[in-house]
Amino acid sequence: MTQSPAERGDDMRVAEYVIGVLPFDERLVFERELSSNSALRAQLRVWEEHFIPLSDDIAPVVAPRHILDSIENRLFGKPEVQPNWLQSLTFWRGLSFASLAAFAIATSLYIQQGKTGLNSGENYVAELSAANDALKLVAYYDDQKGQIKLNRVAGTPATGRVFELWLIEGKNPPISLGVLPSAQTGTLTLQASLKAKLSGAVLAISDEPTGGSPTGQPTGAVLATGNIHAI
Amino acid sequence: MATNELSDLIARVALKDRAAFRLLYDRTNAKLFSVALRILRDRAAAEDSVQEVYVKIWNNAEKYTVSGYSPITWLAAIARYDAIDRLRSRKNQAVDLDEIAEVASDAADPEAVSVETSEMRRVNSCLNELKPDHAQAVRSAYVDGFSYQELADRYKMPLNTVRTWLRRSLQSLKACLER
Repeated sequence: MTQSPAERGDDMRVAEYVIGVLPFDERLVFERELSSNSALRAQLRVWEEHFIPLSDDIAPVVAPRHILDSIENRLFGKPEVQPNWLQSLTFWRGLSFASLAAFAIATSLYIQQGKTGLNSGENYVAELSAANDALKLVAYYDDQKGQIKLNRVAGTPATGRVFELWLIEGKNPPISLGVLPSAQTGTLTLQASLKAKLSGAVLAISDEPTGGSPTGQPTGAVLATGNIHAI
Repeated sequence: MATNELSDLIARVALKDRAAFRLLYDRTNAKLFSVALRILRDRAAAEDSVQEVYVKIWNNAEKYTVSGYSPITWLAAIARYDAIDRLRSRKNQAVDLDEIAEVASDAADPEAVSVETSEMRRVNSCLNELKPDHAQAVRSAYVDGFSYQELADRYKMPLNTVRTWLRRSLQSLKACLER
């Protein structure tokens, strides 16, 4: 691609910004320009992707444990009651199958005893994707709000069509959870009676006419599915 | 670390999924903390920076999905810019070499996120086409956060001369990367 001298000048300024050599005041000026110039931002992304492999020269150093607590404190107020080790990857990776089974029993006892150490609400997540990744959606059920939050990472409906979200529990007929919002992210409210059906069920997206399925059952192709997991 | 997995985690963070945020933190904190340490050369400053970085990630995750960035590039850019801005706005920029050595000897994390090897070969082979001094200057700027002033001191050259040859190096690098 041939660039004009002005574009080349811009491109070099972007590169200088990316590698970080500019003095502070010049960085600030450039950041202001970036925020209003999408062509510059596109060049920025290209340079960032070019240079990122150089960061592999830096030996990773795990941040001290208290850092995550401080971050969560800043973001969410008081620290989460859920014990840290439940979320730790190293912990999960380290479990053998046998110890996992023992752990499951121990945890269920823990819950049955009515301890409130774990999250009181049941939250769920599902990742729905089509075989070719043409449609991809992440759904997160927030028990406190009774809402399903949605982030459609890839895929848009055809003109005059909509995506509809379905809950499928075992061999029962699909239950409509509503038409997906046209924006990339949005929320759907879950009827309280459906909450008990989430565990172990499947979410699916079908292609429907505007306004959603006229029959109450999917009428178009099922485009993506995903299992619901408790978190 | 699969790129898709990181993308999915960021997409969940955009929905304010706290469990996903923790997983993302678990998987990426070693990478982002080391980037900050290397640039800031100071543990306390790097700890402040990495906290700020994850707050930014939480608040801006929604922008990631439409940005077109690969996940680790997006995350590392947030970390690098925060660290560089702190470094440049800091009055005393004395480099403590002992600190760098100490930092570099810390244990590596087996869960480290690393970048695809073909891409790595590409930027590295293009840097190899530059004069060794020039390639080293580009690396030091990106990895260590060296400013033009620090490069000028290091190569004992006027700042403007360094700026001219660094820009020329970046141009050659670009031509090679786009070949």
